[in-house]
Amino acid sequence: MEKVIECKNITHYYGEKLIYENLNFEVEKGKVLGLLGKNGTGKTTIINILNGYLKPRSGECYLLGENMNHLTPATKAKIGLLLEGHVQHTYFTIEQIEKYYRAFFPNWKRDAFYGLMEKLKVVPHQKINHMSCGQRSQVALGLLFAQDPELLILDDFSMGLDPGYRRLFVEYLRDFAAGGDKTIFLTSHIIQDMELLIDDCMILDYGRLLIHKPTREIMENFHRFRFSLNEGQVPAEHEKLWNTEKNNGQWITYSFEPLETVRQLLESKGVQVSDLKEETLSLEDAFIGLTGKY
Amino acid sequence: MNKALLFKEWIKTRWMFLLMFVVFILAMGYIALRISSAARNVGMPHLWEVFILKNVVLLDQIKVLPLLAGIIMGITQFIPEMTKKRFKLTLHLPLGENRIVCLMLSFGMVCLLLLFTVSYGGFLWGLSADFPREVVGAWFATILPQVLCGFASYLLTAWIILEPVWSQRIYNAVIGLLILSLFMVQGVPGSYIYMLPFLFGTLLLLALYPKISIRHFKEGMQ
Repeated sequence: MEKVIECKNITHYYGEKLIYENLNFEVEKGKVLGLLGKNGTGKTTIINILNGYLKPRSGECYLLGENMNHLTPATKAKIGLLLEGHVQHTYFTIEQIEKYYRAFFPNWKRDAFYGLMEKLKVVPHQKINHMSCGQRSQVALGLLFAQDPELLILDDFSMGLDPGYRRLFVEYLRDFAAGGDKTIFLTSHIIQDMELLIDDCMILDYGRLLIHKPTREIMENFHRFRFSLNEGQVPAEHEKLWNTEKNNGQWITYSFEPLETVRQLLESKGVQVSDLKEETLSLEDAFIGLTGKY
Repeated sequence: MNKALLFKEWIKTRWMFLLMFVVFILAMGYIALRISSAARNVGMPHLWEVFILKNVVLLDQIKVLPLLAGIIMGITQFIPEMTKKRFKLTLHLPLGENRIVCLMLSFGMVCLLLLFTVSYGGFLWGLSADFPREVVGAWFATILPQVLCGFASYLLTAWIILEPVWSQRIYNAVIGLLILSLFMVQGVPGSYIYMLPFLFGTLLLLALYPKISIRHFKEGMQ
C-alpha cells in the first residue's frame, strides 16, 4: 500500500523534557488514523512536525513522499490542515473566506462549502468573528471539504464542540473517508468520537509510542478483567497485564490475552484468583486501560 | 493566487489604512492652512525669507507620522497572523514560502508608498506653486529620511511581530529602535542628502529581517 505519511526516528525534547525517542510510524493511503494520548504526550507536537512547523531534535517525516521541510506547493494543495481550536482567518466573512481559498485549490468544491453553511443557517456576509465556536468549526470543516484534499490532518477537531456539532463533524468525516482514497490523520480528546471513525489507533504515552494497532483489533482483543484475591495478597505483575490496580475492594487488570492466560499470569506468584470476569471495552475504556488513569 | 493573498491583506488592513489616509490628509491640510494664513498675514516675500534664511524644516511637527504609520501597518497586518498562530494557515497555502512573504511585505510597502506619495507628494506639489523649485527640492530631501523611516518601521515591526520567541522580540525591538534613530535625523534643509543612499541600502537589508523571524517560527522556537 502507498504510504501517505511516514515518520522515521523522530526524537524531540522541550528543553530537557523528552517527548519521544525514535518514534516511527506510517499511515497508508485510505486509512483513518487516530492519534490518542493524554495531555502533554505530544499529539499536537507531531502534527506540527509533520507540517514543518517544528524542527525535531532528529528524524524526518514525509508527507505524500515529500520531506516535511520542503513541501512543494503542489503537495501542500493536496493536504488539508485543521489547526487546534479550528483556527481560521476570522476577520473574513463567509463569502470572503470562500473566495480567498477558492483561488488556491484547483479542485475547489464551492457547493460543498455553501451546502454546509446553509445547514448552519449562516448568511454569506456574516463575519466569522461573530460566530459561535461550533459554527466556526463547521466553517473550517466546510473549507477543508471544499478543498477536497487527499490527506486531511486534524488537530483536536472536537475541542470546544457540543455533542451535536461533534457528531456532525464525525458524520461528515466518515462520508469524506468512505470513498477509500482519502487519508485522515486526526487527534481528539473525545475518544468516543474516534470509535465511530478510525481504522487504526496510535496511542502515545510520555516519551514513547505505546501502541499502534487497528482499532478493531483493540476493541475485539483488549479486555478488562475483574477479580478477587484473599486479603493481603497481590497479583503477579507481567508485561502482558496492563495497569493492574485495586479499586473499591476489587482488583482490575487489562490485557490482550484470553481469560485463561490472564488467570495463569495473575497466579504465577502463587496467589489464588477468584471471580475472574472478562469485560468488553469501549475505545475510551481501552485507552484508560492502556495508559492508566494518571 | 497572488490576488487572493493580497485580498486577505486588504481585508485585514483596509479600515486602518483608510484611517491613516484621513489623518495624513488632515495633518497636511492643517499645515497648508497655516502656511496660507501666514502668507496672508506677513506676505509671501517675508515668508520666503523666513523659510530660506532661518532654515525652517517644513513638516517637522509631523515627522513621527510616517514612523507611526509603518508601525500601525505592521501591527494591523501581522498581529492577526500571529494570533492563535494563524500564520501556519498562510504558510500552508500552495505557494512558495518566499513568494508568500514577499507578497505580504510588498502589500504593506505599496500601501505606505501610496499613503506617503499622495499626502507628502500632494503637499509639496501644492507648495511648488508658491515656492522656488530649489527650496521645495531641499524640503523634499529633508523629509525623505522621515518617509523612509516609515518603511523601515514597517519592516522592523514585521520582524518583531513574526518572531515567536519573546526574549528575541525584545532584543529585536531594541535593535529596531537603534536602526530607526538613523532615519529620524534633525538638521537644516538638504543636510542629509548624502545619507540617502545609505538609508535606502539599510531599507533593502531590513526587507530580509522578517525572513529570520519566519525561520524561527517554522522551527517551532518558543
